[in-house]
Amino acid sequence: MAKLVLSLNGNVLNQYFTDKPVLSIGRDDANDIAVNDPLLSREHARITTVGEDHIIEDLQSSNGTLINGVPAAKKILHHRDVIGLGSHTLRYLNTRMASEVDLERTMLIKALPRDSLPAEDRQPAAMPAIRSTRTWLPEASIKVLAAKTGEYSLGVSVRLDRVVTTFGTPGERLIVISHRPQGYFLSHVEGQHLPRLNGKAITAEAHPLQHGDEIEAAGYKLSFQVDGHA
Amino acid sequence: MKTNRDTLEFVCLSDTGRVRTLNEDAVAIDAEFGFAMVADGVGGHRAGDVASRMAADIIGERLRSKVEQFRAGARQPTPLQFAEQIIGEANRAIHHTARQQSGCAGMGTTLALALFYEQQVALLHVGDSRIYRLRNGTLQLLTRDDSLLCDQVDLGLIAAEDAGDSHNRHLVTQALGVGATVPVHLKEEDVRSGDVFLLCSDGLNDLVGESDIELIVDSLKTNLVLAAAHLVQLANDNGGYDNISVALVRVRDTAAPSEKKGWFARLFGWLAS
Repeated sequence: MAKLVLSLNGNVLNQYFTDKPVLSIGRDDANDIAVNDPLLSREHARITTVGEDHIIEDLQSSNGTLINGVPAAKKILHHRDVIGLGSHTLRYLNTRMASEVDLERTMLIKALPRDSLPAEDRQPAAMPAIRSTRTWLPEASIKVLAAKTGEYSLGVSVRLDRVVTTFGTPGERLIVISHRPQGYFLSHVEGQHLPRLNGKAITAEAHPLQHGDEIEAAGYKLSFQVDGHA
Repeated sequence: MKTNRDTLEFVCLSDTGRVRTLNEDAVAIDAEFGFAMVADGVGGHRAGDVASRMAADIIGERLRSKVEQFRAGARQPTPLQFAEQIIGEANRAIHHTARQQSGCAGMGTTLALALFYEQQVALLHVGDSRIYRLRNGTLQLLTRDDSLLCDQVDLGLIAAEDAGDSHNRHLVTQALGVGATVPVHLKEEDVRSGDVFLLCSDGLNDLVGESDIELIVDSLKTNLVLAAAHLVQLANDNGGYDNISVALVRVRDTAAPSEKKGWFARLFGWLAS
C-alpha cells in the first residue's frame, strides 16, 4: 500500500492510502480524493492498483494532470512522484519501492482475468528491460590500419558504441570488442590464429584495451582509439 | 539419419548475479537427447532452488527415456505430448514435496523447455522464463510470460514501453509445484539451419534489452560459449539484480560441408548467388 499526501501551497491538507483497487480523484464530493479546486474536472483522474504498481490515469480532464511537472495521460507512479492537480499537489510515497530497483524475490500472484487476454498464438508484446542507469566511459573507436578482405577498408574508423562489435568473417575468423562499464575488452571468437595485441598473441580470455593498442586479427591491422586523446 | 548431435550445438551458463547470495535457477542441456531447459525457483523459505533443481532433474531423466522410445519408432505420444506429460509429473512431485517437507512450503519454479527432434522443436513453458529464436539476424520472442506485467500490458493497463518502470517484474502468475495441476504453454516450430534458440531466466531479459541480446547472439553465434558468457556479463554489468541463466542451441548450417570451403568454392558460391 502507498500513501498520497494532498497539499496546497506547501500546507498538507489530507492524506490517503491506496487501499482500494481504484481511487477516483476530482472536484466532485463523491470522489475518493475530493479536491475543492476550480481548476479540476468533476471526475479528473484515477489511480488503479495492479499488483505493486499504482497507475495514474487522467480522465481527459479540462486542465490535465501533471506528473513531476509534465502532463501525463497514464503513468506508473514512483516513490516521491508529485501529481499536479490544478493548484493542488498530491505526493506519492511508497517506501517499499524506495530502492531504485525492486529486489523482491520472485513471487506467485493471481493472474488478471484472462477472458480479455489475447490468444496464445499472438506475438507477445516486446517489453523493455529495467531502465539501466549505466554510466559509459569515454567512447572509443577502431581505426583500420590495414585490411586484407572484409567489411571494413583501410582508413575507416568504426565507432565502438554498441555492447559488442565484431571484426572478421563469421564461420572463419572473428574477434569481438566488448564495451563494458569499466572499459573495452578484446576477445577471440573463432579462427585458427589467436589475435595479436601489440605484436603478442593473446590468450583465450578477454583482454583490456588501452588507447593506441594495435590489434592484428582476422585479416586486419587495427588501432584502438579512445575519444579525447590527441 | 543425422542425429541431433551432428546438427545441434548446446551451451548453457548460470550465474548468481551481483546481488543475491543463492542461485535459485537451474539450467540443463543434453546434446545427445536434444533438449535444453531453464528453471527459475520461486518463493518458499529459500527453497526455490530445491524446486528448480527437482524440475530439471525429473524432467531431464524422464525425457531421456521417452526420447529413446520415440527414436526407436514409437510414434505415440508425440514429443510435445510426452514433454507436457512429464512436466505434469514434475509438477506433482514438487507439489508433493512442498507439502510434505517443512521449509519447502510454497516453493515452485518457472520452466522453459525446448525439445528438438527431426526438423522440429517442441517449446513448453510455465511462468516468466523465456524462449527466443534468432533467425536471419532477427531475434523473436516465442513465449508469452505468465506474469502480472505481461497481463498488464496485454490488457492495456500500461503501455509496453512503460513496462520498464513497473514494480511487478517479480510477480509470476503460474509456476510448477504450487498446485496439483499446472497449465503448460505448448508450441511447435520448425527448425532451420542457422537458427539459434535462447532460453533464459528473467535475470537476463529484465536487465538486457532485446536489441542487445539480438546483437550478442547474432555477432557471437559461431562461439556459443562466448555468446553465453557475454549475455551473463552484460546482465551483471547492468546491475545483476537476479540470478541469470541462459541456454543456447544453434542449428548448424547443414548445407555447408563440415570442412571449410576453399576460396574457389566461396567465389563460385558468390557468383552463383
